[in-house]
Amino acid sequence: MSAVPEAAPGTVRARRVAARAGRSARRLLAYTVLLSFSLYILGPFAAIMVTAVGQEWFGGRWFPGTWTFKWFTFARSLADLPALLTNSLVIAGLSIVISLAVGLPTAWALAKRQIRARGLLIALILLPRMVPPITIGLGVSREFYNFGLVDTHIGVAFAHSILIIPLVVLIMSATFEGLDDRVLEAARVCGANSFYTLWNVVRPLVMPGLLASALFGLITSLNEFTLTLLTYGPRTITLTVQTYIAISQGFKEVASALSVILIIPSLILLILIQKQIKPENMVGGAKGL
Amino acid sequence: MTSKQHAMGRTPPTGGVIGSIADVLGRVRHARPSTLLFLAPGVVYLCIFFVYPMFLTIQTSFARNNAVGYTLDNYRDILGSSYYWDVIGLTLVLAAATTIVSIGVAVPLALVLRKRMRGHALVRVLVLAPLLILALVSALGLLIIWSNTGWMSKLIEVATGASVNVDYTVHGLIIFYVWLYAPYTILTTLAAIEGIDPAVEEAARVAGARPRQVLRRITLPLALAGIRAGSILTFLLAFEAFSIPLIAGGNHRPLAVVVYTEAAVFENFPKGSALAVIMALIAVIVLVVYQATFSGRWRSGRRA
Repeated sequence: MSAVPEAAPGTVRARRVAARAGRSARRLLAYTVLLSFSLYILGPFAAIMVTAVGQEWFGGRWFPGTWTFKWFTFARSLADLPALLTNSLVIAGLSIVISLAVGLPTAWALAKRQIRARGLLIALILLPRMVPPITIGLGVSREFYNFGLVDTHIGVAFAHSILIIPLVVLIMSATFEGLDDRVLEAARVCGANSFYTLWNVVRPLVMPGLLASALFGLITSLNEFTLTLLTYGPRTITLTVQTYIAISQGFKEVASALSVILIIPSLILLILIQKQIKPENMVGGAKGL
Repeated sequence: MTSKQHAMGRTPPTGGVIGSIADVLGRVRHARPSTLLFLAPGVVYLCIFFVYPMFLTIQTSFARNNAVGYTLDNYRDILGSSYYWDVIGLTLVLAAATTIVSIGVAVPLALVLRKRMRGHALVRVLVLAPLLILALVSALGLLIIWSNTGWMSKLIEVATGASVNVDYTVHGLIIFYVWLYAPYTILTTLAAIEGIDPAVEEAARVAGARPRQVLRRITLPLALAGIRAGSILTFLLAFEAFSIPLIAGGNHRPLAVVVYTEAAVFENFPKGSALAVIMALIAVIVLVVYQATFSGRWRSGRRA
C-alpha cells in the first residue's frame, strides 16, 4: 500500500534525472561540435601567426624555440608591398566599375522588363561561372596577347569582370525586383525627370544591393588566381600572385609574414560585413548559381 | 472598369486605384526605350570576353602544335591515354569526396547552430572566414598546421597514437578542399534548416516520432533543397580548384593543374586547350545531371 505512492514519484524523479542527463549530454555534444569546428577553421590562422614570428621551430616542438620579427623585414625586402597593394586595389576598383557599368542595365532589364527567353538569358549570364576559369583563361590569355592587353591593369580587370558581372546581375536584379514601381511612378507624377528619379529615388533604395555587389567584386577580384596568373605581368603583379610565388619558393616563414599583412584587410572586411549582409545571400553571390 | 482590367490581364487584389495605376504603368512600360538597349552592354561583354575566348580555346584545341591546320589528334591523344583518364578520375574523386565530407560537416553544424546556444554568433562569423580570406593564405596555414610536424598531425598522434601524413596526399587535398569549400554547403544548409517551421517538427513529435525519426523523415527532407544548392557549389569549386592543388598537391595533379602544366609549362597550347574543353564539358554535364538527379529523387520522395 505504501510502496505504490513511494515508487511513483521515484520513477518520475528517475525519469527527470535521466532527461536532465540526456540534455546535458546533448549540450556537451553540441559544444564539442562548435568547438572542434572553430578550432578547425582558426587553426591555420594561428599557425600562420606563430610561424610569422617564430624561429627554430623544428625537432617536434609544439612552439618555436625563439621569437623574432625578422621575417617581416624579409617579406618587405622580397616584395614591393605598396606596389602590390596598389595593383590589387586598382584592378579590383576597375573590375567593380566595369562590372557595375555592364551589369546594372542587364539587371534592370531582367527585373523590370518582359523578356521572352528569360531563362535562357539568365543561363547565358551565369555560364561564365559554371565553366572552369582555366578554360576561359586559356582563351582570354590568347585574346589579350593578340590585343596587347596582357600586363595592363585594365586587361586584368576585364578578365576579373567576367566572373564578377554574373554576381552583379544576380544581386542587382533581385534588388531591382524589390523596387516598387509605384514609387517610380510617384516621382514621375511629381515632375521628376528620369535622371533625377534615378539619382534621388532609385539610388538610395538600391544602395544595399550596390554595396553588396561592390563587396563581392572586391573579394572576387582580390581572390582570383587563375585568371590573374594567365593575364598578369611584371607591372600588374597582385598580392595573390605574390603570395603564390612566396609559397612556391618554399619560404614558409616569409610567406607567413606576408600573409599576416594580407589577412588584416580581410579581417576588417569580415567584421564590417557580417552585420551588413545575410550569410545566406552570400552563397548565391559567391558562386553565382 | 473591371472588364477593362480583365482585358489588360491584371486583376488587382484591392480596389480600382491600384488597378488604374497598373494600367498607367502598363502603358508607361510600352513607351520606354527598347529592352534590347538595356541588354546590349551585357551581351557585348559576354561576346568579347567570354564567347570569343571560349571560341579561341575550342579553336586551339583542334590546332596542331607548332604547325598549320586542324586535327582531332589532341582529343585522340587525351582520350586514348590512361594518364589523362587517371587525372579526370582523380579530379572527380576529389570533388565528390569533398562534397560528401562537406555535407557531413554541414548538417550537424547547422543542427547545433540552429539552437542559438551561447557563442553561436562567433561560429557563424567563422563559417564566412574561408570565403573572404585569400585562398592561398588559407592554403599556407593549412600546409603548416597539417604538415608532419604541424599541430594537427601532433594532436592526432597524441590522441590516437597513430601518425598521420597528409603532405602531398589525396586525403590531404580533401582536408584542404573541405576547409575552403564546405562553407558554401554549410551556409545553404543552415539557411534551409533555420527556414523550417518548428511547428512541423513539433507535430511529428506529438504524433509520437522519436527524435531520430523526426530528423530522418522531417528535418533532412525539408533541408534537402538547401543542401543540394550549396553542395553543387562545393562540388564545382573542388572540381575547378587550381591554386590549392598547385601548391599542396605534389604529384597528385587534378585537371586544372594538368591543363596549366600542358599549356604554360610544356607550351603545348592545343593539348592544354583540348583538356580544358573536356574539363568544361564535364563540369557542365555534372551540373545538369546533379540537378536532374536530385530534383527527381526529391520529387519521388515526396510522392511516396
